[in-house]
Amino acid sequence: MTRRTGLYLQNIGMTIIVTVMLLDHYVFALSENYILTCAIISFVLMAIGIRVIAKYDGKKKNIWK
Amino acid sequence: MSTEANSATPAKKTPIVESFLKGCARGFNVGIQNIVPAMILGYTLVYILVATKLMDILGVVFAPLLGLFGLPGEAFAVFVSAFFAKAAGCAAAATMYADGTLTLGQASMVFPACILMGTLIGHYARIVLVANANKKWHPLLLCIPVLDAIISMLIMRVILAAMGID
Repeated sequence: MTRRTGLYLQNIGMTIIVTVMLLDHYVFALSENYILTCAIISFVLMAIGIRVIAKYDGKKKNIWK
Repeated sequence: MSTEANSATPAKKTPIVESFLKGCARGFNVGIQNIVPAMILGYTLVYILVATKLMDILGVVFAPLLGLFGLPGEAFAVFVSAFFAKAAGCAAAATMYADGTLTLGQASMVFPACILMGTLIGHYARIVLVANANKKWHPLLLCIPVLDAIISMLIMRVILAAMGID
């Protein structure tokens, strides 16, 4: 998986959870199960994205190899 | 020869304002790409644990262990978040303080621990594996940050007790 893919996953995860939370808080109340499902999906996407980006940034910083 | 060439063309000095603006742009990118996602991850994890009632179960299971440091069992969520990213752990602690799960002293106590043991696997891959450290020492190298975190919590407990912060 490339760094760009990791960045996409991370951004999609962030967008999903932030949109859902803001909608629930300010626009209309969403079902608890729906928010939970979105939270789990975004958590998985963000966790994978953060890992991938960290892996690539770590490789980039390694100037000895 | 090369020294003459170097002395003939002195290194061009970048203006302070330009350096400052470049630094700002880099800082902004680091914040957007690394810190903000990690913080949202921490908030999301705490939300999932609360919504699925797993937080209550974790609270009961880890209460004896974390009780040694004067923390409630629910504080385990902070360390799970910190496992993914340092900022996520700190954000989880801040959320739990805002919810009233952690007191001011308890939240302060877990911050140094989050920094010391945060992003454990990420740093293991970036430092230990890249440096080709002897495999015999890998488990020890993984345990050291956790040990540091435990020591930091004990030190923080003493400092906070001396300051009279609960």
